[in-house]
Amino acid sequence: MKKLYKISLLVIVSLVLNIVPVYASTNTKERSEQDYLVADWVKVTESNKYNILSTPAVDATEKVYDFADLFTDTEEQQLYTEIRKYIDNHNMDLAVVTINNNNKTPEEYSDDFYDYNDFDQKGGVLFLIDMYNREIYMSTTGSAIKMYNDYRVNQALDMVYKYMSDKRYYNGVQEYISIISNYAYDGIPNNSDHKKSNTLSRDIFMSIAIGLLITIIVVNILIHKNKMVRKATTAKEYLDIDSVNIENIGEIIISSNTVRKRIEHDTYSGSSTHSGSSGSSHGGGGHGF
Amino acid sequence: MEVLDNKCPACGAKITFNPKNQMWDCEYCGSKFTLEEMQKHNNASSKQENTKTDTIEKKYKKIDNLDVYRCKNCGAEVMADEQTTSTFCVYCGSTAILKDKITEGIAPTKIIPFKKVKEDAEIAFKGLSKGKPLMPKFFNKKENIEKIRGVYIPFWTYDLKVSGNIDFNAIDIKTWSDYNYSYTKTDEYLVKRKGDMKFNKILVDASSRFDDDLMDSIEPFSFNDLVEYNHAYLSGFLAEKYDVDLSTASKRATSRAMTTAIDIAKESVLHQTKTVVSNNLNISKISDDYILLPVWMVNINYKDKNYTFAMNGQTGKLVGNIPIDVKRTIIISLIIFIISTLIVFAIVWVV
Repeated sequence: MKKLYKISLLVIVSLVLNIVPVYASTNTKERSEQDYLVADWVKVTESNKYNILSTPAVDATEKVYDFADLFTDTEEQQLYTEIRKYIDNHNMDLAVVTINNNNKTPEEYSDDFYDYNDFDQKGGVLFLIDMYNREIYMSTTGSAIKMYNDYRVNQALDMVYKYMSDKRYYNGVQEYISIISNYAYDGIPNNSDHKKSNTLSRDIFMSIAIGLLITIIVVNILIHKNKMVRKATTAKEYLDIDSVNIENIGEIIISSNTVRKRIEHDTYSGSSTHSGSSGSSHGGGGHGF
Repeated sequence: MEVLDNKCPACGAKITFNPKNQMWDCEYCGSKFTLEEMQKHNNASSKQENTKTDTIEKKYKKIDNLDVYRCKNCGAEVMADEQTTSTFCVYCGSTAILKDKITEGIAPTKIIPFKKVKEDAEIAFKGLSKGKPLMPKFFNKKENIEKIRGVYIPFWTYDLKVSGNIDFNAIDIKTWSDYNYSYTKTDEYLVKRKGDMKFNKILVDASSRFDDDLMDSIEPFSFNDLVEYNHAYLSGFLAEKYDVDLSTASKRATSRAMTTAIDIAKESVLHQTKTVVSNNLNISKISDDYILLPVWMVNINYKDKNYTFAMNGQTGKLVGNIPIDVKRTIIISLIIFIISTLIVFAIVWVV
């Protein structure tokens, strides 16, 4: 019954999309100091005013905002369908944005675009293709921050940035949606994303191993306690401290060298977050192409 | 040559040295005598003939007036004065021992008299089992404890001087990092030191029958109690004859002194890792001495192996290797294993 409902909804949606075609140039509304066109929770201050005004005001239900004109109309429709599927299945929002010009960082642009349009603040993802900085960026909000930890963000971006280099933008975004959808099916990761298998047998094995280790240590200490005889190798207790006379008759440096090693930044566990200009918290990451 | 028999100056009965009051107590008439009083009665003369022995230790006097007990089983020779009898060998427990007059030997120059009495040794030995669950139960049984005997063990002491030059190779490693790089700086130095130091009375066990390591382990002795050797101190105790000569024993003393001298020189080098690259330290002997030190000892036979326990007769420090009871070890290991596994599992399960 539910499936039927979904299918019919999809059919209706596609019908609507066919009747009102989405043009490559996305419709935007004009923001002004009289009407910032932002959600009620956003507090407009002197410091974020510019960020708001420089963010295009769009219809948050469209989901695909192809300002850079990288997709054909049919591709846009296809992506919209897939995005809707993702939103319905995972209860998180998803938007894809492409831009040709950007005077902010990809991170700033993505966060602003998400916060100053009416996307779901409870949880959602924005995928940005920034042709100006030649970078793809993934911004996560709310529940999506936990779902896509640094490891997953990097994995997803690593897998799709090549498509962008090859100018296969549509395939790249398709692939991206399928990757993040699969991650969402896996559920929220356990601090790191290495397969979580909280199975009983592993626990038992671990307990036995630790128990064995504790036993070896304790029994060794006990055996050691029975050995009280030690050979004396020093004569410290017989040393006449006052007779000690030691002179420094030379100290030269033979060599000195410094080795430099690059630090690999490890981002395998957890999600690092930052605050957007609106004050709300975001996660995510970017990758050049 | 005066005859030395530890007899009570008052009644003439057998008299023994009492570590508790450091006096000679007569069991028959109840009289107590100090060393001076004993000497006054000519009973405790330490005068010996200045007969030179054939050994290299020429400065030492010859010893006599003592009985010697030879063990037929292990060959041990233990001395005792005429008043002290021995019925079993303190080393192997054998009762097949022969009494004889001493034929050769040199007299110690100094002695630390017993401070701890037999009861102290028995209490210490009974307390051995504390915190040692792997010890065989049979170990501190009464019949073992009763075998505890007070023995004066011979020691050579060496006053040594170490002097010369020593060179070290020293390395300092410093690490730090910024955001992109970690840095490791390695500095190598050649450090030269010159110096000297003295060691006073390094002890070396002069009895081959006693395990050297066991004797090392009951150190230290406080030399504040070291007094001129007097025959009278032996009454009531056994004494071991030295059988490791002065020069053989000195190797152990010089090696200990050298290790410490290197350590001291090393401490003066203020770098992280230091290794000796050339060692020109020389050890010279200032003087030596032959002394007797008090040890309460007991030998216990467990599964055809002898385990010797020794208690410092001055400080009460008790040492010895206790055998491991295999059955108890297995049971205890199993218990620990089961309990620790269950606890760990419970923790993992809750978390």
